[in-house]
Amino acid sequence: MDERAFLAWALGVFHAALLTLVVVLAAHAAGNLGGLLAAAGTMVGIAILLALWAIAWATAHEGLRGVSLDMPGPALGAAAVRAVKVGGLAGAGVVALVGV
Amino acid sequence: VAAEVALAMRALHYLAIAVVLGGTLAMAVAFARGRPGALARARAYEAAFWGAAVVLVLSGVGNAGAFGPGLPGPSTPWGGLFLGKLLAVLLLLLASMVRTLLVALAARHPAPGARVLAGAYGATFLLALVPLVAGVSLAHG
Repeated sequence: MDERAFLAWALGVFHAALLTLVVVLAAHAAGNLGGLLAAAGTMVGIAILLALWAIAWATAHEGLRGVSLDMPGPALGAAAVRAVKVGGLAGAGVVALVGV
Repeated sequence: VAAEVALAMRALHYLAIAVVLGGTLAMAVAFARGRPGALARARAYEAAFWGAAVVLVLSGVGNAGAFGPGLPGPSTPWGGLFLGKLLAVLLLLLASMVRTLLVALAARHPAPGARVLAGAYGATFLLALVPLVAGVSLAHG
């Protein structure tokens, strides 16, 4: 596994897991978690989480294209701008997923 | 079918916890003792760790969903402990991303030393014990 694939795998899971946990934490803190999970159902919930993970992995892989951990500052800045654009696409994908 | 799905969710959850705890402890020992090939094994383990993390989150949400609308709220002792477990998992994920970046940087010069990586894996192991203990307590009411 090369560096890009390695980091994309880790970041994809990290982003999907973090978003899921924040939503679960917020719902539980508000006392709505049981109702939310019951409304979604187990199989639909699994499908949503898998789709979320696929979006996060694909966008992390795309965002890391041409990025290296030892890049010089200006190149890293351009890579960051590109990552923000890819992140926007990921956000649109998540919104579409929630809408479905 | 719902009972079988719930059982599968629990089994997957335990399996993923075993990968996280067993793997981080083994890697901490490997780096602390300076075993050759530890870094190559660490990169392979990181891929397995994040695979286990997907399973942990997915099965964890599935386990919580098995309670349905009867899931105790955060003001109850059970709900409060569950909230603490979720926060501990959040902390574990954040710390693990830092550890993964340290492993990625370890192939470069200057690289984090074996002692730093042993500490990172040891800290992950200890952090992972917190949700484990909370989870055992939650499972027993």
